Amino acid sequence: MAAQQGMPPSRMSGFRSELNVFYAFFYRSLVQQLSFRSWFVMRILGMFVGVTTYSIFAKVVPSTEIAAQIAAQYHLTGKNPFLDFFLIGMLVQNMVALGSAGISGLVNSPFYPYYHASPTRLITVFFGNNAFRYLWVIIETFAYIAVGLTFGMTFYMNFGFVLVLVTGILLTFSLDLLSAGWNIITKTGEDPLNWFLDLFSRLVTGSWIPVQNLPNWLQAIAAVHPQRYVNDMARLTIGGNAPLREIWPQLGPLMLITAVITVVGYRAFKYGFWKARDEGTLGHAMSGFRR
Amino acid sequence: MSDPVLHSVELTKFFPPMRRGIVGIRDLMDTFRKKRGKIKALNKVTFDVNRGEVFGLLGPNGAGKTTFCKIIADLVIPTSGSAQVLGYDVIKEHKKIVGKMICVFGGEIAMWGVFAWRMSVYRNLKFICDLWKVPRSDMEERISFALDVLGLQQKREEWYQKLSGGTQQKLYLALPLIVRAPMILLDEPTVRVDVITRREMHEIIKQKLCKELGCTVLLTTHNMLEAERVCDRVAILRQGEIAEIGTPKEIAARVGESNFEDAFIKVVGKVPEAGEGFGFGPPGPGFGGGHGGHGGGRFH
Repeated sequence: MAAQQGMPPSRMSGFRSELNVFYAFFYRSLVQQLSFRSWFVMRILGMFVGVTTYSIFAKVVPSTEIAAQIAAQYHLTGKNPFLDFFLIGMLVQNMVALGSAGISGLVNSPFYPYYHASPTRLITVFFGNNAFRYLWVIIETFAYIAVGLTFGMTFYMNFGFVLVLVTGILLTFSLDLLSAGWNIITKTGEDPLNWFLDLFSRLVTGSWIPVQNLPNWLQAIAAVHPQRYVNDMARLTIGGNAPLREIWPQLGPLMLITAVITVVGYRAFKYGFWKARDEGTLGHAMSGFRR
Repeated sequence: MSDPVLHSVELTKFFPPMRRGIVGIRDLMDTFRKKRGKIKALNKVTFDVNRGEVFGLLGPNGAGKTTFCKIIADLVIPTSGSAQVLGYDVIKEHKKIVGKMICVFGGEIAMWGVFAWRMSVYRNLKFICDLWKVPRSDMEERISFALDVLGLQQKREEWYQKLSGGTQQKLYLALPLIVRAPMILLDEPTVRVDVITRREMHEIIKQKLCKELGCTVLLTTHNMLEAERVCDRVAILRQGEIAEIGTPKEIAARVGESNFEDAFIKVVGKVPEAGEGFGFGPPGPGFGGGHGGHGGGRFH
């Protein structure tokens, strides 16, 4: 024990130690979730029932007129275009949610000061803290695909879709960074930009209703909603097997916008972080935070 | 004499004025009228904490104790002045300090985020070992040592949420016992515990952390008996400024009181009258407790 006196403590370092922390976070979340056994089982069942409900809904609403429009617009090859349209929209919306709420949730939580003072890198804390959520989204995605295929959904896996998905996740992440910059100062839990995007996300992004069937004023909102383009391109690639060159005219600008929002989001986050430290509110809970 | 572990030089913090209302129009107008004053939390706080000592930072609510701790932990940016821990600037060289200093906030910032509620004490401590990168080979020994010292070996497999409030608070001390950082910052570590547990915690801080592990401790407390029992030296903060510094006995003698609690009251200069309260007061001297725990009521 005396050897410790006055000496810096011995510590693990390097990538392996960060991996240990990541696993420790994941294990902790898993133990917490599994400790609510009945709730956990209900959640799993609820997920499958939810996905099945969407599939049944999509299958029994085969409006031939709209279905024909959809098939033509997205070059869908499947027998049931509305089913493909609807399930691909739900699937993609679920997957791009991987990038959301991680940063704001972490930095605004009252336990952040402990992580800040620990030798673990913030990026490891961030990914570790969200690891269970990532696993859950992946399970949900497989559930969507499995149930969708059972109901006859078309599913092409191609490089274009991978790029669309990565861009969509990065876009959501950069919007979350922007949101974190706002929330870390105001503690409101909702910033105006993301509030606006969330408010209209079901309506104008084409998740449920084809954009061209919306009134003109809603189509104008849809034109500035980035999620709409992610959905469109996902349908073209997953449902229509469109090659990359076909979606590039939409994907290129979306990538550019994502890059811009990432830079703006990072600056906003840095400013918010500095401001919270200046005001002494770092680690103060957001309104509505519950343990 | 060796270099101080913590070296604070004229550390000053003025918080920006609180935001009011939803829209902020009042704030904006007052800013143009230059009515909005900054809130003084710390003013030119200078002291050293020497290696191996327990240094107490005392003061009434809103005196600036937690603000000082937050600056040391890089959670608040000082307005001016500087502070060094182990020779590193706490703000500019924060990354060099992490792992060499551990902060345990028992007061304002609760601990429940680090300890998972529905996980055993042992698993929680293992998580802390991972977070603070304790070598795998040392983990079991350090966890057992901490549980032995805290007398919680029999609670090893119990969920954290099943522990009593006092035991949960006591478990906070497992952090410094496991991490064994040279500098330990304890912000009101005994705030919710009974007198027996408090005595045990005093022994742990004094004997185990300082004498056995060679750590240096900065402790904030409202309990003057605790300060007398545990601290080698103390500093009393009054409205963000150091009013007295020395051993509790020296301070009591200096202000002409027989016991330290009376000396403390004399130094901070005010005993609240019945019904007076400590609210966020008008400009001028006062205790003030608003603005999220840092010294409210002292406009500058």
